[in-house]
Amino acid sequence: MTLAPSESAPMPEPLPAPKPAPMPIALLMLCHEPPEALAPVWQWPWLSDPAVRLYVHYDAARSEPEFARLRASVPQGLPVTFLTDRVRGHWGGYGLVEATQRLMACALADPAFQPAYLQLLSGSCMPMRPLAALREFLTRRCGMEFIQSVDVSVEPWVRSGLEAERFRFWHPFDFKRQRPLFEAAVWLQRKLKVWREPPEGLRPRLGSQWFCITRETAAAVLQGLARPDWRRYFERCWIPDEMAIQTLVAQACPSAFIAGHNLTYLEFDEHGQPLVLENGHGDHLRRQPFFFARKIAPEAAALRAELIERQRPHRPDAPGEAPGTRLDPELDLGWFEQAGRPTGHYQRFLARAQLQPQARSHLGTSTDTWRGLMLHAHRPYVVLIGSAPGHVRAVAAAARARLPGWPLFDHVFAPGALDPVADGLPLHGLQPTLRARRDLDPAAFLHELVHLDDAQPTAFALDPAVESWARGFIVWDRQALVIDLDPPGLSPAQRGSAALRGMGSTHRYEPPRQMIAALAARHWMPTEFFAEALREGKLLCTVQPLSATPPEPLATALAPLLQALRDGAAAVDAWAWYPPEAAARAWLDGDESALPPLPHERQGSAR
Amino acid sequence: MNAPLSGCVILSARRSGARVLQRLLAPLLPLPSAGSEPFVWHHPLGQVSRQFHQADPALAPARVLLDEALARPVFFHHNHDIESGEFNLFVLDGLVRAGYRVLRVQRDPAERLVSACVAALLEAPEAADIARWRARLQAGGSVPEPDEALLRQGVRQDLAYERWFAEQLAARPLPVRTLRHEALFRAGTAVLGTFDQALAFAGGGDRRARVDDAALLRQLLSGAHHSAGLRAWSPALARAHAIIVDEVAKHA
Repeated sequence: MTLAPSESAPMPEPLPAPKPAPMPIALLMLCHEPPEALAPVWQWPWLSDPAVRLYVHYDAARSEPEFARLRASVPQGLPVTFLTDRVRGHWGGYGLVEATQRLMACALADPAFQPAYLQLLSGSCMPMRPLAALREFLTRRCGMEFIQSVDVSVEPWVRSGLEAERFRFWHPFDFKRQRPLFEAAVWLQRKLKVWREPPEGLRPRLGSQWFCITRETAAAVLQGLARPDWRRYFERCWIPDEMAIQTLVAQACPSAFIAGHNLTYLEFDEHGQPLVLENGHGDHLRRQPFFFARKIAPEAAALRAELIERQRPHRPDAPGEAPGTRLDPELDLGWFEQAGRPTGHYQRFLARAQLQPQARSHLGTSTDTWRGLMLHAHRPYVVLIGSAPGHVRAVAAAARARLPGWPLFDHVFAPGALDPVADGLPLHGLQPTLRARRDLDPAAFLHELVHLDDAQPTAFALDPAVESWARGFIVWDRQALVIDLDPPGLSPAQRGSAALRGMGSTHRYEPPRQMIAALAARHWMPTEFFAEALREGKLLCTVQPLSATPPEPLATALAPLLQALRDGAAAVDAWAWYPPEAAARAWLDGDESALPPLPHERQGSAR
Repeated sequence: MNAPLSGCVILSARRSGARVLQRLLAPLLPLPSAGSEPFVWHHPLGQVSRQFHQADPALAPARVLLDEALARPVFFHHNHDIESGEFNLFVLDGLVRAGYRVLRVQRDPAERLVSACVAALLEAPEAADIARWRARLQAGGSVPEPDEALLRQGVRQDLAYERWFAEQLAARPLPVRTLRHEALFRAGTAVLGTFDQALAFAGGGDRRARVDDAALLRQLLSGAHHSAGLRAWSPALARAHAIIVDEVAKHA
């Protein structure tokens, strides 16, 4: 406030107010993605602002070479600081709080930077408005803490599952890795009516992990987390990243200064499944009165590019226009009144999805505009899967030779490339140049794909180990018949070694680490995505081995194709890709000479 | 025995946000409220202005009316830029005679003038009007091109009038406290301190006993019209904005 010098000297002030320096903002990023997946972050226009700095905590689950690769990928001159003192953050464990604490401490201790606000992000978050809009928003509300901090004794926060039990019970076991022990501990404590009291002076609050808080409050939170008794308390709570900082902010701030919402758009359904943002969600995001979007699908490259454009303060001038005349819609601040409150579009979608209960947990691709053009597709199609991509391609090629002209394709949804027919000419006009269209609107691409021929249903290969829009969609599409081409009776070691050796041909992001970890833990492997969905009953498509007969009317429509696939599979030597059990185990143990070269390696081909 | 409480007035130009301040202060003051812009002819003190502008040259009836109105201390808000200079001097002298305190609300002139220009051009003084115009402009509607010469002249006249009014106010023995629009609407939670000091100056008691921080913040941090934001949807309004900023920079 500006006051006159005294009441007896009532000279009005000079009119123009000095322009303040831009508000410094620290972005704190918790990430665990492969270094290549984080490359788009370095393109954010926000990072070119001198009053913005990015502090990155890279999960300790990632190896040192990966960390070195990530650091090396940052272009010179970007204001990015990496925490070298990394911790491992398990879902539901204290590691995420610890990592956040270190990020906050690093940002506050930076002598060259005094941030007014600290914003927590993840590797799948992105700013979706110009920095100037965020600054204007924070300037108008300077001193407010943008965080959810809900007293669950007054109002519920968790939609389903444990709520007050998160902090009233002791939680020494990891929910994901020690699930039976976790459940037993909860059951026992409920039976014994355990009531764990918080330390003196603490009143537990819950809320979303993501926040944007002031420097002063961040300092107070750090002081709280440094207290051994408080830390011990939070360490034995469940999902402390949704509690510790939220509790300490409420401890440090008058409730009037806590906005009760954060600035990151994220939504969940009633089962706690998050909405994954795909390429088609750009318009939906434009309507949301938030500054950051979460969580963006790894393959949604077009959406990332669109959001990067939206971060720019002024759009590039069009030809013929004078510089600076292009308008930036973000000057319109009218939507600030709704900040933090998502529009009803998504919840309406979920309400409609109740009509199809099996599909409702698959977010973003069920019956609605969310699944784009595929809403109108009622044609069956065949998806060929297998642990060894090379074997799947070989069977497809053999079947193509028996059914010339049939729309039967290789891995058309492989990230980073579109190679419809690896061993031949373009079929039905499907060419590698359509890749951009596929990535922009995969639903429209799939719609086109399944309607290529009026009489013959389309078939294409899909690598089940690779996360993609198509994989997520197909599992919930009743029209899809998924045929597993793996020979029957394979052991995990055989399938795992076949998959690991085939990787690189259809993968941009290599999941071998996940494969090896799954093999070691005897957990399901990424290649078993559909089998796992089948086991859990979380699918609508039909999954079966090649030898099985599909239900009518699919069986009649697909009879020639299935016969050609069976003949092709019989003609291909599957054991060239799937080694014997002993050899597979020896190879997995590191004996490179245990297995003969793959067929394409023997031929000296790139494949 | 306590001294009788003197009246209090908010003086501002339009589009300064003073009306919000008046609305929030009025119920907290031990003074009857005469509202905002009371000298508009159909408002409570409209007779004063009517008599001033229509009656005899001696202005005796208008002065009597004004002094009668101000004699019973009240709290009101007067947009000085909608009245003539003569009438404003007449009011200022009346305030001096009645011993009023003045809360002056000021805003960055370029922002104020852009907001005033948009509101006047589009006849959109209310939030609902702004929302309607936003939808219209987004759908491809247009606004007439601004007359640059006229706009520049308007900016010069406004700035000169503001300067003149500031001099006249300073020349009178009135206790004045100046509040900036930016300190009220762009300072975040610091507005609570600003508001409480303004309340104390205007003669109010303990604000927290009647309105808690959260309720006050909700009032102060929301409800803005953002009329200037409409320039994002109209090249004509964007050009008007550029002209105003340029002219203000020349004469500020």
